Amino acid sequence: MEAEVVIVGAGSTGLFTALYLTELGLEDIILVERSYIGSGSSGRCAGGIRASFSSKEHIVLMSESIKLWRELTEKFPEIGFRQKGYLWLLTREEQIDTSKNLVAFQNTLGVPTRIVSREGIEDIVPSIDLSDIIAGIYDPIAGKVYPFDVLYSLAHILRENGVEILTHTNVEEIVVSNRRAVAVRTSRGRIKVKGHLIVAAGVWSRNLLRAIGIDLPMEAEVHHILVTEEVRQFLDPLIIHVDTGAYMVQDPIGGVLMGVNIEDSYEDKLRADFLRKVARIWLKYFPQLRKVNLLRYWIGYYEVTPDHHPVIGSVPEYDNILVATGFSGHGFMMGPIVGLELSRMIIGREPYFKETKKLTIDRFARGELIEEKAVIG
Amino acid sequence: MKKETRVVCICNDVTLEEVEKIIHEEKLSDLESIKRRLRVGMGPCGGKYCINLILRMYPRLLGEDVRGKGDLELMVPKNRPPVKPIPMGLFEV
Ligand SMILES: Cc1cc2nc3c(=O)[nH]c(=O)nc-3n(C[C@H](O)[C@H](O)[C@H](O)COP(=O)(O)OP(=O)(O)OC[C@H]3O[C@@H](n4cnc5c(N)ncnc54)[C@H](O)[C@@H]3O)c2cc1C
Ligand code: FES
Repeated sequence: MEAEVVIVGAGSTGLFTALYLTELGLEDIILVERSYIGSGSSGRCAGGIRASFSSKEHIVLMSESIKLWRELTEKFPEIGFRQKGYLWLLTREEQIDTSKNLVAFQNTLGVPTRIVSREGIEDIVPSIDLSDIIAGIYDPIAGKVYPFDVLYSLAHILRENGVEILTHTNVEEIVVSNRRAVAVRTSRGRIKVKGHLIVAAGVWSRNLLRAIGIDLPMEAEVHHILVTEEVRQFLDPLIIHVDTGAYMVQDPIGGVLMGVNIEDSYEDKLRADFLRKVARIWLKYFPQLRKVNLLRYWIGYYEVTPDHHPVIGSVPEYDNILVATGFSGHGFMMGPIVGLELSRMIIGREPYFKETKKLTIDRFARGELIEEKAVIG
Repeated sequence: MKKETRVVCICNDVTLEEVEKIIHEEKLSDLESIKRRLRVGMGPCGGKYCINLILRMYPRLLGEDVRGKGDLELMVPKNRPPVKPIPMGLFEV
């Protein structure tokens, strides 16, 4: 087997990259996925999409990603981006000043976030019990998707376009020679790389790259998330409890997803203290959920870099290898813009945004880190 | 309206025809994918009913055109806890 572009990983990153490559007319692509489509972090995520970040890089690129999510949903309705907003709930006086600064910065970059009062919050989420909430930040252009609808529609579109997605096929080694990836050795044989190799293998990218001498500073961070049984739609935006970083969002079938960070969650084990923490935070504001059953609870990984920004683009050690990972909790929402930018790099063009160029792996060696503070869950 | 009503997943109202369509048109033939694509087995019963049913019908469902394509590890989906539904309020204390 051989292909012009070989992509390791059929998560959102790999699939969106393949999609934008096919839009450029390049269809000789093989995606290699060691398990099922979306089996990495992509199928475990909450599906939240926003541009209300604290760094210019994230704000600019996510704003563009939101435009692409809308465009894609117009073209392929199954993708199902629903622009229902994000609402950040503030409970302490000092959060208001920080929020005002953040909102002002986001506004200068075109993201129309605004501070809302208690009454404003009730207008957006009528079912909320305000309790100790004193104000909020509302981001009207943010939204949500149902991850598996996105992943499987992308896979379907790609297969219709002749792209090969090999599932249950593990890439065991990237075979390199003379500054180039020449093939990948998989559990089902060798695949020759004629043009480019893209490593979009999520938290597992680090080991694949280390084996060929590339040092990617990235950690796999365990995150916990649950979903309740279906209830009637009562919550439009994704909501965040700023004090704890807990989030809650209702999916299109009615399930309520809840997540929060817990201490010392290094092991991928389910934990009773997660359930307790997330229930204590959210049931206070939504007592009507007390009777609703927990349906499932699972864990997934954030691919976390030292500066909470992704690594996108070429690597200094090789001429035809591109990397896209390290999203630090925001990889799903970024999928479209990352795919678009990578597809341009593959055909030898400059990326559209100078912000993208700042995200290459060599920033770590140069010490040019970018800060992102608005990391949640 | 659904033409046929051979429901395999009672909780999430998924028909046999939908399962067949996914396997043959979208080429998703492993159970993990079928489950997530159609939400079979993701209802309150945790798939006790429907996953077993599909497992039994699996050889017939796959038919000729996907058999032997190397994509059909018979993966029995993981059951994510809890096995029995528990009200959220119980975790608050
Ligand atoms: C609980 C939780 C909630 C989240 N919520 C959000 C959210 O609301 N919004 C958001 O934008 N992001 C969210 N994220 C982050 C998001 O899920 C990830 O950043 C994103 O899905 C990364 O996608 P990816 O395609 O780069 O990686 P992955 O989805 O991890 O895909 C990598 C794929 O590569 C495959 N692979 C790995 N090694 C190999 C190999 N050697 N050979 C073949 N295949 C291989 C894996 O099986 C996997 O399918 C959340 C994450 C978690 C855990
Ligand atoms: S019958 Fe399918 S999940 Fe219950």
